[in-house]
Amino acid sequence: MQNSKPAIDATRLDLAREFKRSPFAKHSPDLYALLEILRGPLFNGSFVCVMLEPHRRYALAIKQGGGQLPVVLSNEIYARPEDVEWAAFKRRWEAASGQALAIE
Amino acid sequence: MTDVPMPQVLGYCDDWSVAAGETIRFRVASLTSPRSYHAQLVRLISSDTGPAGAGLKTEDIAAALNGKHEAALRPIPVGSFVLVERGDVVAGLTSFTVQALVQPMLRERAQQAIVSTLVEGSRRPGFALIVDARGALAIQFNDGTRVSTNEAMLLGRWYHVAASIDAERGEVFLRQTPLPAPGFDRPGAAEAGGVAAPGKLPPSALRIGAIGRSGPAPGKYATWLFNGKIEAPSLAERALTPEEIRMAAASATTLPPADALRAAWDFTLDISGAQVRDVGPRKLHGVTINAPKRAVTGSRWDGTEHDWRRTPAQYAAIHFHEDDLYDACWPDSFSWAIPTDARSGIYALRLDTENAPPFWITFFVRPPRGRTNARVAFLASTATYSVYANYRARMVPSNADLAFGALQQIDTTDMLVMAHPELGVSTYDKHPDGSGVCHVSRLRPLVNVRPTGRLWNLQLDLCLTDWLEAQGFAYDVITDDDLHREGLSLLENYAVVLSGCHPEYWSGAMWDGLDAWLNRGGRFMYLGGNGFYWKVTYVESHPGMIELRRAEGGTRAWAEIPGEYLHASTGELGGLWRRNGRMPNALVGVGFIAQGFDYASYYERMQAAGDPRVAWMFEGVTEAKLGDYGCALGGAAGMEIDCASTALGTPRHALVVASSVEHSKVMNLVVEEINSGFSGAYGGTWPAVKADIVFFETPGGGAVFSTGSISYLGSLAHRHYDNGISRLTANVVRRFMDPEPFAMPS
Repeated sequence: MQNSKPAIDATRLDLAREFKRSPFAKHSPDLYALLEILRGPLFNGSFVCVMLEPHRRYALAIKQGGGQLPVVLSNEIYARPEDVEWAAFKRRWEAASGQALAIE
Repeated sequence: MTDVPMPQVLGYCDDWSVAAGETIRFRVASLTSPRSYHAQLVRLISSDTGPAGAGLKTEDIAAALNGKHEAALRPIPVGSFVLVERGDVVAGLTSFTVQALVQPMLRERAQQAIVSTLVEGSRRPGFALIVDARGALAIQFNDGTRVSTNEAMLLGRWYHVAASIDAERGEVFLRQTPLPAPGFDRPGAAEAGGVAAPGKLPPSALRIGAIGRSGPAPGKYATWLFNGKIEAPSLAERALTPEEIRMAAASATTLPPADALRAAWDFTLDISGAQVRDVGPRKLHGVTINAPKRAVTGSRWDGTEHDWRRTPAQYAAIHFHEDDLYDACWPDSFSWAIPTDARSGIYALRLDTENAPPFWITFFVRPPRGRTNARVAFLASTATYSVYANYRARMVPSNADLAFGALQQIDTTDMLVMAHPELGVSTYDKHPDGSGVCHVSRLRPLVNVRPTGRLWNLQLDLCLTDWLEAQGFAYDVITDDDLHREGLSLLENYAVVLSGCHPEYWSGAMWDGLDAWLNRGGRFMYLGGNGFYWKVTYVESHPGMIELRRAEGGTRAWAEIPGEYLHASTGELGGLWRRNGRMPNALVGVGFIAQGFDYASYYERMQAAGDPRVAWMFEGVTEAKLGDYGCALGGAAGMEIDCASTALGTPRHALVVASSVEHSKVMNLVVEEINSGFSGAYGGTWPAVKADIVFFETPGGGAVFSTGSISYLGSLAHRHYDNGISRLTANVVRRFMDPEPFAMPS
């Protein structure tokens, strides 16, 4: 029997906003609890941040395993690693909740 | 997806720690196609730190080699095996038997050779005893004939394997026999017969763990590389009967009858070196290529002994890997005779090609031997740079984000090692068979020892050289390699030695040299975190190579195989220095306590900062939050941090003048501090999770100043070097340069 309950509470948009505001910071206890789920083996998506040009252009990529190069999602290029974190966060949120995150 | 532009022309140098007045040789080539490039010699002053740092600063150096060149296409001969070059090893044989004990550890390959005389593409008569795609023992001949048992051998299980070729009958007999092992798996033996007539074998080399492949460095190129352990391979001059082979397998011996013995290679001999000895009558000795792992548990290891020197018979195997690499074997492209008056520093040869990022060959120039040009020396962490070289693990799926508290970051030079696996791996990686990488060599292009890209090791250390120049402190550059070779004599004419951000890997000789210098009044500034942590050995038989065994415990990328904790090169127990009787805290006052990569925090001054012994230290430093800025995750205290602990050896008179605060729950206590897992051992809840700035005097009139954080150096350039971290560091350098002896407190 499948457990249909989402792994995270998709109504906690406050936590998403907190992460977007400062991805590299001390977070609230609830956000840490959320991140432990999103960064865990079920939902982390094997994402990695690629610095395409030193400290100027970044992209999200997916690690492949098997000695293969990460696949770069080049349709989204970012100026800061914070933006790449947010891009990964949104994808993980959707994977864990079944709903796209309604915050850009 | 997109094609990420990566450097197209790569290179390395013959030795990366050279003295003014000596000559350095560069080896440059392309792994994809011949192409033009421009070479420019530079002195590196600062790295590309991004918007929060000083930015990339280099100084062009005039040299004849600067200019346009052509890079040839040169493959790299990756993968380890044993080469027996004597042509008479098989010459004249028509009937013969080859035997070995094997422990296959990887299946997903078309074939992996155990013992072979084949060369890819050659029609010369020959054979290869192999593990085939399904994991079964097979033998293949030069005409493509292959006979297989068609029964997969279990991965990780030892087998006796044998193949006999009877020329008179035109028959082949194969048998794989599992050796007894603990547990309740009971794989059966498998036999196979077939028809083959390879004919009289001509003079040719024999390889253990591969077949030959042509290439520009004769004998070094191979394919069908074996992943796993091989023990006691042998060659008999006649076809042993099936019954003889069954009896040999039953007693797990591969030694042919005396009247048939052609060769029997005994891997228990010369374990520390590259030679492989044949104990047969012809002494058909071989050499290891690309440094496979020796001093490894063999088929007879039963767990009762962990020291290969005491029971070599239990360590009779060699562990081969398809990605082992010692020497890329590229020829010299050009050289630079370093002028005797060249400034000591960190240098690089920058290789520029069109539409691609540059590649940097980094090297270190010290003053002419026997001389010093400054009273201050920066000790470049070349042992640590080596160990991290060509780090691939960041691109392997994992749950590392939980430990990092952020996405892992890679750059386009990191990606080179995935695009070109022949560049080899780092000791942070695992081989394809899952075992940890214990050897690392600088005789190959090193993709991540460069002044650009993600901030780590050299890039952060260049924040220190940049700051030294901005402050007007004259300095020499010396290296771990120098310290290992020369010990105390390298340091004795310096007043002050400064470490980089992460001097993690130390040899015993390096430690002895620093300790002796400190006892004679040296002044050491440990400006990093997680230093003096792992023991490494420089491998005498392989100049440029370092050995590491991640034994027993510690915060580590992989765990050493049980029974293989002792280095092959020296017989020393590997692992953490703190488990080898040498505490980092005793040497520099602090030791590794926690790591996390979400952000870096700051220090607050402790009561001891007001002690008259350090009244000079905080002059002009007014910040309450000391170091809440910087290019290394935004603060001076972060990434990997160290704290004081008298229980672990911090001198009792040491002053903890500042400690970091406000770490997150991603800043996790290191595993060697706990005996069983539990929640709550992280920043904010665990008092020891902090970076301590520590000062203490030594009996010889010297002193030690330690900052306990990898991020520290990233804060020096903030606000054009006008900040508390910069002033604090400058105060310490000036006082440490002052010949006035430090007095031990009463």
